[in-house]
Amino acid sequence: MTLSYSRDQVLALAPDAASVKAAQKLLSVGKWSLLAHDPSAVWGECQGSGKKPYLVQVDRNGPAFKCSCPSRKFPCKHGLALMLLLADQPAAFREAEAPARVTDWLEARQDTAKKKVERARAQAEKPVDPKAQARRVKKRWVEMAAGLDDFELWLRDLVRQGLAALPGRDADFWSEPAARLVDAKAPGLANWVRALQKVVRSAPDGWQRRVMAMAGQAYLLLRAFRRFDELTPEEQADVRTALGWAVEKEAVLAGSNSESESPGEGLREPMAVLGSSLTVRDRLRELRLWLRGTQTGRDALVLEFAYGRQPFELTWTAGTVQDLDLAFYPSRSPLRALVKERHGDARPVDGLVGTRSIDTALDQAAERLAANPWIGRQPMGLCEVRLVPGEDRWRVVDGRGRCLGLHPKFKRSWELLAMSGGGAVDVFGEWRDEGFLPLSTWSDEGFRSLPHEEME
Amino acid sequence: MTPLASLARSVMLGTERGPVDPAPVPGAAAPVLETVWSRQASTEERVLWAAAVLGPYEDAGETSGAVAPDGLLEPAPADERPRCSDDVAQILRRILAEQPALLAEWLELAATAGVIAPPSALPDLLDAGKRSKEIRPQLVKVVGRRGRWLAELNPPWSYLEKASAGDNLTEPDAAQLDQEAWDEGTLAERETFLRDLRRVDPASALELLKEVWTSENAATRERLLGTLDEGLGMSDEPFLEEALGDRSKRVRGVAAELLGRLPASRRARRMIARAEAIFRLERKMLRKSLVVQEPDEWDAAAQADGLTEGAARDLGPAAWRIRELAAATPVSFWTDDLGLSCEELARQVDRSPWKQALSSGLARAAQLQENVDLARALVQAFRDDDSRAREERVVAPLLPQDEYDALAVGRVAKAESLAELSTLVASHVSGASCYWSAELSRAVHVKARQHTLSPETGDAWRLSQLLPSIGIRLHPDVIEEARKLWPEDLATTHRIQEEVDKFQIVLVLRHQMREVFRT
Repeated sequence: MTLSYSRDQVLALAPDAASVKAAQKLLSVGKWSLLAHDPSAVWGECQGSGKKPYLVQVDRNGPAFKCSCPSRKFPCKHGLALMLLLADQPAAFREAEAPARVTDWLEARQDTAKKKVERARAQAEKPVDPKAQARRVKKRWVEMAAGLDDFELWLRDLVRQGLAALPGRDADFWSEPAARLVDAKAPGLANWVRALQKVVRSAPDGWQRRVMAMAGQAYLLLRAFRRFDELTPEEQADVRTALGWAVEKEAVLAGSNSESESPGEGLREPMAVLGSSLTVRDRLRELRLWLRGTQTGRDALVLEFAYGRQPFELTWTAGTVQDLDLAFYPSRSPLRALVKERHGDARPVDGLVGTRSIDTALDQAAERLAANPWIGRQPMGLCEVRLVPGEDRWRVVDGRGRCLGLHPKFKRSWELLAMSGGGAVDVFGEWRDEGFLPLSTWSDEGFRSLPHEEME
Repeated sequence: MTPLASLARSVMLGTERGPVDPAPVPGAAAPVLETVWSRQASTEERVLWAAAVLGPYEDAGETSGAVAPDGLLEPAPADERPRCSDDVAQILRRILAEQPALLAEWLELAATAGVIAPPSALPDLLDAGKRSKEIRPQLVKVVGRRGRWLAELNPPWSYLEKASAGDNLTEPDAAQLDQEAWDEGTLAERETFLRDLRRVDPASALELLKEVWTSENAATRERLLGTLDEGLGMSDEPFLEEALGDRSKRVRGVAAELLGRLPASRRARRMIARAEAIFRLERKMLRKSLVVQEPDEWDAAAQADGLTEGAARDLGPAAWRIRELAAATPVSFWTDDLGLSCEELARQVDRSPWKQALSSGLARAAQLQENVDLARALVQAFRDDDSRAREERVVAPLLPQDEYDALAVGRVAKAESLAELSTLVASHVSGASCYWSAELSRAVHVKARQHTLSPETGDAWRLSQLLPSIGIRLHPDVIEEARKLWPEDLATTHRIQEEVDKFQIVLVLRHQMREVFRT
């Protein structure tokens, strides 16, 4: 099957709004001296300001872009315009045999991909030297320990001096421990301090309880760190993740190899991409792609990071199913995964997987939390739920009349209600500390993504 | 209050200021907490430990709430009309995101095709309808029952209910009107009420107005009297005649203007009497000629009838009076009393030394009395006379659409700059249809292209104003030829090219839109 990209999907690939605008100016067929495609690639020639037209080509499996223009943006406006034209006016393209410049490029790409997999496989098969690894862990551990001691004092002072003092604290009160934690190589806790500051500053209802909960979480992490050696490898991994001491990609890939002794596991399954949510911290953009196995119902989270205008490496859009080889990060409740390999082409999803009972969904969430108290956002799929508008808060209700509040940051309630028509729909989203945040829905209109974006 | 919230409250002032005394915790957490509190550690540590236990405990124990069956929404009724195709929905999303000016056309096409919008687009559509009244009649049809159901749930969208009432009933029921708005509403609400009532039952509306007439202040009287232009007829004449004697000059002005639209009124008869003294037809041999006696200052009676004194750049005091009188005199005076056809009258005006005053006055008379014959004759006479372009703009809209368009075609063909073309395009926004006739569309875009390509007249700023309105108003039959005729690469400036590219995108989208509705 030839993979075609809808307009929305192409627009989702754009690095910024300016690129979309620039691409739209190239949407008249007359600007192109050549528009052609075959099952694996699309290519064209676009007249630019220079004498020679730009040669644009797109690998449909990906999609990946290449253009002879000097733009540093990726994909450039020519690549976007080519794919938009294909989505809007497929008749303008002729079917042709790909020229050498296209086929060579495709081959080179396949080679690179193969090499990458091989490298990963070689890494995975390389016997891990447990002694060397233990030495590395120990070294980092010592570096962190001193920083965490200071942090514990700060945390105790916070309780000693009282929560009422927090709203009056100046910026240094927060930035100093955060900076110290970054130096101590515990960026996860540094982010935690910033999040705490934000809760205090925005002071939502019941902020005192939130602060207390967060302080407890941090303290639990400190205690767990002190007993690091007594923990199981999975627990160690969860503690490391919470501290911001990421497990190396190679180790994850290695761990998924069945012969390895390290924790972590692999999975090969057609996975449905059910939701995407983007968080922007300063210039760092973090994209969470929630996947759910179409056969086992197993959840997976793929995180993508990009700085500034850089595009994300993975450009799947919600609503597709991809046959994937995944490697899970070790955890007592594994969610985060790396994509080892992708097989075949994407196809559209044909429904959402979830439970009809909100209580069952909450039980699942509780189990995950019990296994990993620092787990954060969790995926949640609810089938056949109805929406109830509310003055201050909307809710979803299951067939038995049990309900959950929607997250205050969810902005598309009316759209969701319109699609449901007041009847039952399937909703997939994130279960977070302030409620359920829908990311996609399946209604009689089919699948519809409700991508979420927030600044942190 | 949850145990964790209680713990938080107990350390609000800090452990250094006093002992911590959190509420006891029931359930499975109790024994764990007991161990925590009995630890050999500082109070701060024990508080943090307790928080570490209670946080996950409460998060994991989060339970669902309950909603009673009567707390659920009544689902939307099923729609009778089919939902539009995916392709049509896709075009709608593009329009909403990128080209909102094309929404009216999409709605019209969808309404004509008898399809309804995809539910996910309803909130955006209802928001668009809130901003623009013009699209509401089509919107009501296209959002379907689900859209109306949704709009009822969200107060900002409540306008739809009123709009759909208009959709179902060709004439709103007088009883349905909100009498409260009349009794207690603001002036604007009362005005709307009265106007609505005039549409259904002009006589009762007039009665209501008479009831309150003497007790209202001048500004209110002026505004409310204005509503009589809805459903105006001879039965309003006695009241208007009375209003000519109102204390307020502005009320008198409104009454005079309304009476000017009633050629059978007493005021019209008085005007004829005045006109007979001023305008005369002399016959020499076979030749008729219109003789105008320079009028003296208006007497009190004439002023009471709303005739004013004044002067303007191209009109002296006497010319002003002539214009005033010509504007207030029934057209029948010229045609019946003087026996001139409208064409003959227009020719007489051309030859008269009072040409400007008569042109202006007769154009106003034609407009007030909605006299198409006179309008047509005047347009003919004004056609090649730039000094009377303003008068032409007054009477031209009275012509039937095809004649009006044909007239515009002639004007457009003569436009000497993009600025002139812009003025013409702006003044020629035909009411009912969202686009121009094919002939006019062709004339406009060909002219615009000619000026765009010419180095003397090409002007990116003008173009950025002009091309978008041309883009949305071109007749469907002309879209394809316009696309082909406008070059992709103009040998002009980058900015001009940019505007032309945008224009092309609109045309392509409109073309696609029509294609997907066809299939």
